[in-house]
Amino acid sequence: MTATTTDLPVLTPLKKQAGLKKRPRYNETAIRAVLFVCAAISIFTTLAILYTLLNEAVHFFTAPGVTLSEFFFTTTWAPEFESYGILPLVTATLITSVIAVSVALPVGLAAAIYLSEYATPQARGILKPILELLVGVPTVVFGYFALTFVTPVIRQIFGEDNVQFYNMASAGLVLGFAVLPIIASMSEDALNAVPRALREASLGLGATKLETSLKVVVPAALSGIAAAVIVGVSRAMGETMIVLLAAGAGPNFTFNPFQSAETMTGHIARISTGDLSYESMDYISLFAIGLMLFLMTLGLNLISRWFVRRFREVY
Amino acid sequence: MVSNTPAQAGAPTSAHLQADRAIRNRLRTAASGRIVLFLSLVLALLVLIALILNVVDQLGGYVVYGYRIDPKTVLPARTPEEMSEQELRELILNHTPQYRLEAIPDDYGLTLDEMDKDQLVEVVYAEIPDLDPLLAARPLSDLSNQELVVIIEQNITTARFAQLSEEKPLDQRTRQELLDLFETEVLEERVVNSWRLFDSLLNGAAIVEKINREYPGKQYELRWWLTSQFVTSPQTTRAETTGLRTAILGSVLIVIITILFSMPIGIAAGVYLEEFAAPNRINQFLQANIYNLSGVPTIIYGLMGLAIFVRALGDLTNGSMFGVPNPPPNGRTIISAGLTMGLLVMPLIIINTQEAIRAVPQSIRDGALAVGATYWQTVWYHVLPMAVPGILTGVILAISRAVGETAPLVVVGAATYISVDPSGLFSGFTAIPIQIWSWTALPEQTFRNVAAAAIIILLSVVILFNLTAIILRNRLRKSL
Amino acid sequence: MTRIPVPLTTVAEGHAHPTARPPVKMLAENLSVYYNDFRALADVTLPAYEKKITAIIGPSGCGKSTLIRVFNRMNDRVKGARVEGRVVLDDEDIYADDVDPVMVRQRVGMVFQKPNPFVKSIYENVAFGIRLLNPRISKSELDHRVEWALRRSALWDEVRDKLKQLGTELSGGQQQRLCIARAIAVEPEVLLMDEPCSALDPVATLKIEDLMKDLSRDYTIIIVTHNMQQAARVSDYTAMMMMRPDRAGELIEFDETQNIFVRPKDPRTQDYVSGRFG
Repeated sequence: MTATTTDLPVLTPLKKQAGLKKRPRYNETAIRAVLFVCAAISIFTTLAILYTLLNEAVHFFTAPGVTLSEFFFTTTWAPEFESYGILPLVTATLITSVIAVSVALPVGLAAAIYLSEYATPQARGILKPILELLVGVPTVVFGYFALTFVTPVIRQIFGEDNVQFYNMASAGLVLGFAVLPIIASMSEDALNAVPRALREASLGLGATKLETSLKVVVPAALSGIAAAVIVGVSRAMGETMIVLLAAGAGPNFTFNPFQSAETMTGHIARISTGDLSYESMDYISLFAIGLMLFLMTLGLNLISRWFVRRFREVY
Repeated sequence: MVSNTPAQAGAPTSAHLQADRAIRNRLRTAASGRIVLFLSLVLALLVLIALILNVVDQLGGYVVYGYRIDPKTVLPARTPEEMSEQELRELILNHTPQYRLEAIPDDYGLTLDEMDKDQLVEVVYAEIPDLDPLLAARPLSDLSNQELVVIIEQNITTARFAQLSEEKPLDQRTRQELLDLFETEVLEERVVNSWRLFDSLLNGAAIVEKINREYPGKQYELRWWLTSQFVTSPQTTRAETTGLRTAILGSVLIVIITILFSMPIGIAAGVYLEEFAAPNRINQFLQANIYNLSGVPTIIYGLMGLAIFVRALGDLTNGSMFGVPNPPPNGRTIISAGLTMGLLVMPLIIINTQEAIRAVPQSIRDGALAVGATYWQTVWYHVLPMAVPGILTGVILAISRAVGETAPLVVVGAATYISVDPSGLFSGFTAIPIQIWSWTALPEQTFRNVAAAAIIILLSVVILFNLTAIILRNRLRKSL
Repeated sequence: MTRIPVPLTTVAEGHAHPTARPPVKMLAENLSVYYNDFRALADVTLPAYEKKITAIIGPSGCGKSTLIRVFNRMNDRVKGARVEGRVVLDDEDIYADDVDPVMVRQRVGMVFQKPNPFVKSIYENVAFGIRLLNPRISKSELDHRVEWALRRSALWDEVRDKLKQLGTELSGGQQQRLCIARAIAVEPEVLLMDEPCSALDPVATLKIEDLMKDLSRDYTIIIVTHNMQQAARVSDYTAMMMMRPDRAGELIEFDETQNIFVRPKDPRTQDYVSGRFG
């Protein structure tokens, strides 16, 4: 049934190397080397970050009048008066981040549960991109939103006497919406990774879908969700523009979210906009703060990845 | 329903009823739980909508104008010779000391009413002490174009005058253009009060009435802040006249450098890690390092850029080593910003490239290898072309990120006020998000309006890019 | 013992005894394959005779695919894969340290289980390998060789008018013949076929089988198949593989095809070919 192929012309054979021995392929070796160098550039980025932070931070800590105990345990940050206590910047960072996560976690997790357990594929196809669009909104726009919309609303609700114009509550709230998408999308990944069999077993016992979701699927995905929350905290701590615009422009050691206070990122951004002399304490202290921030976020990211790895091992 | 249970099946016991109630409670919880979950998702959407509406609300609205400078102080006075006889008489009657007024008929031999114009002028000069402040400004309509040009030139800075002349020589401008210039540049016409857009649209009549009551005679209009003039004008110090051109050009140049720098390196790194890296310690470390880099706060990148590109490599990044004439005093230039941003978005490009390559079916590699392709030929001719849409998604996301990212630019040293277009890679810069930030931070509502206009432009660009990326990625997932 | 109910129309009386065999083209000798610590193949020795079709049969998981991929070093890229023993092509051990796997694959082509044409035009699918060998080939010669390969794989008449169309837009059977054309375009000496018909319908399968027999005039062919009738229909020699209790695959019997199907020596082969197993 196949056409006979005996009438095909005989081809002059293609030239091939005799034998199977390796011949050097210099251009491919070179390409490979170039690719490796490109991948290694990321190492240089890390080294550059570590070097600049450490280098200036060492200058800072060896400067006369700066001690580690003062840096970590005193509550005034005022380089112009030679007070270098990082606590007010740290507390402001933590307060805004905690507010952010306490908004983003319930909303984000609920959204994730809805997307992974309830939504039809069509609904998902529409809802997920909206969540992803929220990721794309530049944080400076969120900052504008905080300052011109959320702050007035908060002040109206709680009274202008109780809430300062710049305040951590407004910044933290909006920060929460900025980190919501990442918490939602990481949680959703974790929920999706839970095997179907677990859900079916629960539903088979007569549990409602909500009971299955909250009592079976969420606990099973807990370490993945923990990873999402930790990344959320880390992102919130590292975010700059929202707190710079809405939280306040001056270190303030307070635990009242309605007061203004400056976060680590906000302080770095504000001080670096001025005309800085490279030798001034103002300048080098930024790197000490930066190092602190870097270590805090790095620690959180590592913990989060550890949770993710543990989660992957389970499923 | 319990009451519908057929009687012959036995009356429901209280245990039945209890169980029934429990189940119904659970179902009710399940239903309301579902709604709560859905509403959470809707909340995210509502935030996005509120955010956009809040911006739009400040994009336009009624404004009332006033002048910062009193026109009298800049318009040339009318000399007595230019006044009518009637005006001269009034001037004399009002400002001549009483005893001199009574003496006029004797001294001049004529009463004021009998004098002709020349005589009146003579009296004015002779009898009115401290005459200059009394002379009224000439009405604008009296002034010739040449006179207007002179007035404008005298009352603005030479730099601004040169800038305006460069745009269009003043003596070639029409009268209306000159009058506009006079209002904006010399009198510094400005908004003295403004209303938000939705308020203006809903309560327009009430607002107009209020304006007429509180600002009688003042100019007002329903003003849009996002105009073509706003997009194309250079930055000025005043919200009413400022524009975004300087910042747009800055952003475009920065993004170009960012992408030129990070795209080839990032894609190459992704290809290496996904296709060539043996699973040894070095490569595992590289991979872990890239994940960590993607989580480093952006402001830290700014500090790194400040220390390395701006300070340590300042002679390179301000162009003085390349013989650029008049280099800026430090490395706070477009190239520094672009390189910093490039390092920042590189992990994003690497990770997306890796994902895109991972999604190419293994069978394609097998097919190419089996006909005697080397591994590189396989990757170059077959894997990469199939991964292009995915890689492109990563690049688009990186561009969008670079356009909107603000903090590192703040630290690397964007100028918040810069009115000249960037002249190249080695000039100082501002960028769209930097302008949004600096305008928002100012107390005047008008700057918030301008910031809103800039946000609309930034958001349109960013959302456009992100939508493209999302659509591209979804289509990709379907096709593979 | 049950008689074997396989339609062995090709078995002639004279072939029942071992005949003079052609020279060995490829030979796997004492071959073991490991994936990390797991031993996937144990001590396999299998010849492939020149211009004959050798079928590898056996239940799933017995290492058939692993074995066939060893013949052109397709397992190299699998992480943790390791080979012990020798695989000889003519006189050279293809696993020797100084051997370039690319050179091996130029001479040992492969067709896969699922048709995997490149997402490129039909023409480009075939031309790719030729260009690799001769980057400066003239357009007319390339055309000529592409046409030759497509004719040789009995696809030409179906695609001659749509060479610019994507290879992936063809039907499954056509795609597989395109993959065969792609493989023979670089003029290999050996053609490996890993269950080439498992994704195809019966008509397409028949076409491929005809083609295989036709190709065996010029090429040494090794084929993995699930389908015993297929092995019986097309192959000259058959290797029977089984999984050992430690899950390593081993070769339990190799012989001329008619012997395997008519009088297998190993009772397990007997069970398998008579359909009592797997």
